[in-house]
Amino acid sequence: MISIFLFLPFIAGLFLCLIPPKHLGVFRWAGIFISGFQVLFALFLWVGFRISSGIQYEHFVKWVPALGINYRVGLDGISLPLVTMTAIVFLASFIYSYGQEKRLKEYIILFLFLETTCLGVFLALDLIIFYLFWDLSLIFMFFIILLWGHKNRRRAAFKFLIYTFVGSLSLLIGIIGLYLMSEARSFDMLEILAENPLAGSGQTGSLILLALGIGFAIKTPTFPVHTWLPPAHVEAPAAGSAILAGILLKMGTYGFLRIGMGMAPEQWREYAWVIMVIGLISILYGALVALGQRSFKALIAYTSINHMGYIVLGLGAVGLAGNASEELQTLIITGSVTQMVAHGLVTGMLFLFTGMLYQRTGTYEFKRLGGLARVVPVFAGFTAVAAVASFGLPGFAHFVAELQIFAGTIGIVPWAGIIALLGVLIIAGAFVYNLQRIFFGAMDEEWRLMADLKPYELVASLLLTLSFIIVGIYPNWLIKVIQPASKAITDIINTIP
Amino acid sequence: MSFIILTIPLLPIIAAIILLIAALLQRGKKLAFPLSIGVLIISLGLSIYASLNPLQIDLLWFEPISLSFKIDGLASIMQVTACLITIAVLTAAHDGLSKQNRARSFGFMLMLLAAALLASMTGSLLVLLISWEIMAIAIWQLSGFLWQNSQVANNGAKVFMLLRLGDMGLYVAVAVAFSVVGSFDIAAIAQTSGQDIHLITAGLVFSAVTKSAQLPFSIWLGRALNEKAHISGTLTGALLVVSGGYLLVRSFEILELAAWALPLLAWTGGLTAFIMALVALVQKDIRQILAASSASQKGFIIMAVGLGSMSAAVAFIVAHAAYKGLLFLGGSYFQIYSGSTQLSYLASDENELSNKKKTKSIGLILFSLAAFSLAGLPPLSGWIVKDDVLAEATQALYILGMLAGFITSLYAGRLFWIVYHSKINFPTLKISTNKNLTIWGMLLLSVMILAGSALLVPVVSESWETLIPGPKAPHPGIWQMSFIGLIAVAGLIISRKWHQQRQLEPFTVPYIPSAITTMLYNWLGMGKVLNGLVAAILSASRKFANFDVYVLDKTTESIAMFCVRTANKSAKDGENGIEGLVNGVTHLISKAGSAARIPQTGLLHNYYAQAVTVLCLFIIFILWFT
Repeated sequence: MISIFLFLPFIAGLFLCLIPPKHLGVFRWAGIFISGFQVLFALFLWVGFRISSGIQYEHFVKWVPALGINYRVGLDGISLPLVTMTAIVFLASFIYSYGQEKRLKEYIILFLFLETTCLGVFLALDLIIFYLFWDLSLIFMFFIILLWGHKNRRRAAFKFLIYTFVGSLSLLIGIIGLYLMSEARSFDMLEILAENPLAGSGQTGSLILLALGIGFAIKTPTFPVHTWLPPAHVEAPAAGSAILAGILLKMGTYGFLRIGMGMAPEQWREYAWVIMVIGLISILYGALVALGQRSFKALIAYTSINHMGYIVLGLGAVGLAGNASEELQTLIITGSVTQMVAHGLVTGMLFLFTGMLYQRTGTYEFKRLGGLARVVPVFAGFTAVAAVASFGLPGFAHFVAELQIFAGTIGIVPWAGIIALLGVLIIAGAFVYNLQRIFFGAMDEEWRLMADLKPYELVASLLLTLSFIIVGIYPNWLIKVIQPASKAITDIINTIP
Repeated sequence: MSFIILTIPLLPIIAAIILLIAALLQRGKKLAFPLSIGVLIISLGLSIYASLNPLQIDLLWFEPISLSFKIDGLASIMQVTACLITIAVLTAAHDGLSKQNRARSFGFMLMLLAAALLASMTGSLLVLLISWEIMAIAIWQLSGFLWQNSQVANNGAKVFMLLRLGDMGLYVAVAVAFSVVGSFDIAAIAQTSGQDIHLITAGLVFSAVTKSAQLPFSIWLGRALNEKAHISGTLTGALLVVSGGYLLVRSFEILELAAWALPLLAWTGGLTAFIMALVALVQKDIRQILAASSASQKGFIIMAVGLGSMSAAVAFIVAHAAYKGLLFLGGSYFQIYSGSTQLSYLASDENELSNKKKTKSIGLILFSLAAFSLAGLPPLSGWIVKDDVLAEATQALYILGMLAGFITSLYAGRLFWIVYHSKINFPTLKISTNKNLTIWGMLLLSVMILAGSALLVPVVSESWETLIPGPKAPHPGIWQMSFIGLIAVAGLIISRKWHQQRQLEPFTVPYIPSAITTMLYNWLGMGKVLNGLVAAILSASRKFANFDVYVLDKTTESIAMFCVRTANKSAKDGENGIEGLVNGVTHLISKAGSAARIPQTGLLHNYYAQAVTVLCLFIIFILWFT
């Protein structure tokens, strides 16, 4: 069943290849319909999900047994929320893309392919399958930027591809390292998790974690390997940016959590302070640079670095904790997963808004905008809601996540947590100050006739807004699912003497 | 049924959301006022009903974090006060606002009220943090209400950032408390021992000092209530006074654990009370006087907490809410009828609204009542609560408080005399006109002020004290009370003399050099510091942004380009190199081939000679090695 969920968008995409490109309506509705079905499917998975730390909905097919490579997918409490978030963000992107006309057929098909690869990363239980989906998602995203991007799309697309491919290669080295160190000579994630092949492996283990870490850090991205992100976001089409920020970035943090922390616990603990400091720098640097941006889209791009920084900081702190603070560690890990979900929904929405703004004005520059709340009040209102959600106002998903991360981190490493709180402050300033430049103040006459949100834009915004408000107000159903799985990771990291 | 208390903040927040959505859709002009008043009255009724049976409920928000709400005497007092003040404030907002802005401003005011209601029924620090963050958003939007002007909007943003800075202190306290105690419950936190309590207390104190606009953070109040602020923005000041020292009263059990916290609070409060009273003395606009005065008065509240007298602090909060609310309403009342809150305008003989036939309107009388209460004139509530606060003060702090009280009566007197002698003819009470709701709000608040005098009756003050948790302070003696009353009277008389001497603005204070007056007028330069700080952070952030693009990104790119260049180079050199090597080898082989032909002479004896030579070499080789 899980494989149907995984490959449905891909197969649908293949079928769509057969339809001639002139039927615009078919493609538009096919995208919305299929991704909508995926959301329902994900909700259905919630219904059948039993709260426990184990893997559920597993599907296993032998592939290359000689090399220990098998097709194995499944869900646990960490992947289920991420998969659901992926389905929702894709649905919102498809609804948003209702107005898309340029090369619609390829556009819809590529996004459907991309959906399968994104789901695949979170569902994979075999490192090679994981790597395969990871790399394919890069390639599809590369084409999306290249074909539908803005003016400097070629440069941004190639930069994105090459930069993140370097990360992929490093990740591959790490994966092969894990394989070679494992007794069973297997790429199976569950087996590796159970075996902990890097235990007592000294220098080799550290190098493997380094290789994995570089791969994940580039994807997340953390300071100082984040510089591919702003140009990619600025040049990508809005729906592409929403997917890139909302989902692709999560692969990095998901990898840190599942593979870095889970499969190299000893090394993670040893180098936890490095990871934590990188997270801390990302938080402050991302927030400050976001404040100094001149364009809306670059602003959102840099806030992502800040938001992902909280996760890296928290996971670093988990490694620094003694065995006595098990509850705080679980709290942080749960918070990190919540943060991934929150960031996917909120930032996905903010990127869709940048697209709506660009369609109306042809620019992202604050300098040319201003006072737009006069002509597009509903748009301004929604953007304001997303912005306050993004800087962590209570009642929205980010607060739930950041509260857990901070409560845990301050408990383990007080100074780091307190310094990181400055990031929460600055990021609020970045949003308030810069959004006021778009919507408040004097307005240029040329925007006088700007139209407010169209119905399909409204639907996409409402879908995401309601999602992150529900998580923000009543998160217990989500936390309950995540918690056993984070407890399992806490146990792994605490078994090290 | 216990969950009914949750509707107290829930109703206003839902109404606020409805109004804000309506505002985005350009609707709700007619709905705004009746809906808000209706919701307020229900909330008021509910909070009175809830006060009958104190209770605490804990709701699991998500594992392991729960939200706890608590209704006790303190909570009920705060809630009733907040509702009454807001009702009064809404009347002025109704009169002073153009219809277009109504839904939005009423929406944010209800949001502010809801946050205040939530804050007052908090049983845990987390709920307090949540309500404060919501409050900050409402204040941001109200103080930058006229967003069409980017300067006003930026002002609102600065206010918001200062408030959020204050929230961070509470955030730290919340996080530390949870990691140490495993709960946000104040009583549970107060049970802890060890070093962490200092961090928690520091967070709380920082938060309270910032939120209460104590020095050096007083400027946000001035910014929120500046001349350009919209009328609804000025009302935040009136509403916010209730939430001032509340955090400290609530978390007193924690503060007691850190020895340094209370003296620090007492001195911060005392100094703020004194210095901000001086600032209020020299302002030229009613709103700025009231803003500085609010900071100063909150100083008294913080001082009361620092002196360990909770009942006095709460009494001060309530009394101050009433008279300061009335003064704010008076300010907007004057603004509605004369178009200005500048003192020079009110004092001027030559304005278009001057009228020979001068009648003392009821608005003026009510305004005077509030001014007298602020001054501390016996037997008004302002006098009683000041007495209670100062009862516990030791020498130096007592003198500081006395001075602050004296200066307060000076600026209250100044306000009173200017308005009293103003030539502007304010209309008398007319129920029929639509524009006169403010008067009703003012009446409501003056009843509150007069009711406060009941605290003089021992039975009332004793039952008041049973409502407030925390330590009680002794009541001041009769001499002390008379002394404070005398000081207030003296202040009013002196200010009258000053008023007669220098009727017109600009106002200078005798005996104080003009340089100091200017500094005080400019809020001690706090505004400049704030602007400078904001500018510095912005320019730093631009530098960081440039660094990111021009240094970090370029470096990464140059590494990539280096790889590309190396590849190209190696492609070129390498190709030449390998080709050269291949060529060289071929050349050598062909040479060797030619050389190999040399011995092949075809002559037999030559071959024999060669064979012998090789054999000899072979034998030598063998011998050499064996």
